Amino acid sequence: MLAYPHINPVGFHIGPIPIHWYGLLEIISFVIGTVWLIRRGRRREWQWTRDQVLDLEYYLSVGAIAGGRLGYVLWYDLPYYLGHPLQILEVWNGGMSFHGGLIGVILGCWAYGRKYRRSTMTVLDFVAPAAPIGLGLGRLANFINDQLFGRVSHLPWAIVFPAGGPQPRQPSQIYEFFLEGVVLLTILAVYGRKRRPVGAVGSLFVLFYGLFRFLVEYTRQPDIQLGFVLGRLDMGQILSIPMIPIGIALLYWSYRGGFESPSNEPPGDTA
Amino acid sequence: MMARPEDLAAHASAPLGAEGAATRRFTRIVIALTILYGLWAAVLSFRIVVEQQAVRQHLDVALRVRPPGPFASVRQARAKARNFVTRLNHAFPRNPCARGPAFVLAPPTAIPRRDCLVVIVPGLHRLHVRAYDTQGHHMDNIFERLNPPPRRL
Repeated sequence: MLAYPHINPVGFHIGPIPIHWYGLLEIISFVIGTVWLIRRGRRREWQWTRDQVLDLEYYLSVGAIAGGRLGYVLWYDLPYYLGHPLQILEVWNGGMSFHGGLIGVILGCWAYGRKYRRSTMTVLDFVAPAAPIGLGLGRLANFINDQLFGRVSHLPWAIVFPAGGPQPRQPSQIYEFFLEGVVLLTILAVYGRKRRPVGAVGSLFVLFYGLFRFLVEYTRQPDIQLGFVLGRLDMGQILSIPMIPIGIALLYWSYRGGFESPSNEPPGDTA
Repeated sequence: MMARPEDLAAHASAPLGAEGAATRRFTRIVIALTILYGLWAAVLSFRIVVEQQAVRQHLDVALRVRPPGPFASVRQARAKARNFVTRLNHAFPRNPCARGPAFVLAPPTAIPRRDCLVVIVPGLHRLHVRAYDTQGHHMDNIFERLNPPPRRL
């Protein structure tokens, strides 16, 4: 059993304002993701200007926050929020859903695509490889914040999380950091280096995130207000299951050329 | 060679023609299935939260108001447990997600396992409480005590 490294959730102070690690890691991931996308946008096959990328970040942020919050309300605690509707706006009190956030991001890509005359799948392809940066650092922030820990376990690397009681638990946030962050980033970065059919990179993100999240959820403590929801499955798994066939279907469709433009000649393809 | 803006727009715009129609149909099917699945998940979640809240409240009550031990004999412990279960079932007559009572008395050797059930097990030192969630999985008393239900009974 490993000891929980007591990390002060407050990283430092700027005057009287405490800066929490959670917020700091979110900001760091946002900055890294933005810088990476600006560099990616300069590549010949993309040719997105810095301002276009920054505008995209705005659409994605609004989509992720609104979708993440509404997803949490809808799929994780609707009876509570029906009784306390104003608390839906209190995002600072916690309660975000990745799956809602993903839908919000897709809608953001769609809205952005309409503005810049790009297809939704093209925008998704562009942004997908940067997403694991935020996801991975977010899981590290969960670990530092002593939240979203794993199930009770007696594995040698199980950790006693102070908020989880005296029983050792799976460090599921670290598993998620590794799979949804490091591994997914590597897969998408390596796969996305070459020109792929339109929609392929975004589809791969959907497929592998769904797969990794489904697997890791077996080690994660289900939300207390829900427990298990269908046999041995928790809500994270219920929401991740469709991502796998949808990811495969989108990948198939993209390799079939379904998302390509009529010319089938992407700009900058001089080979 | 740099791409011209019009090439970029052509590349980025939605496909046209027969292929485009097939893609639109494919996209609509994916969106429709996603919406239907999402609604089903929301309904499932709503039902589970309501039922789980009830069983969490039952467990919370049982842990808070169980008669204190130790007991003089096994017989006394059993009598206390029986009386406790009767009182609980009288106060909370409905099992939130299964047939039968919400609370049962059981010996340590034959603890039943059923959805939304709170089992009281007599012991010489104390009455033990074991609860099962909406899917029949053993609930964690320590974790539940650390995070009591929002509306305690």
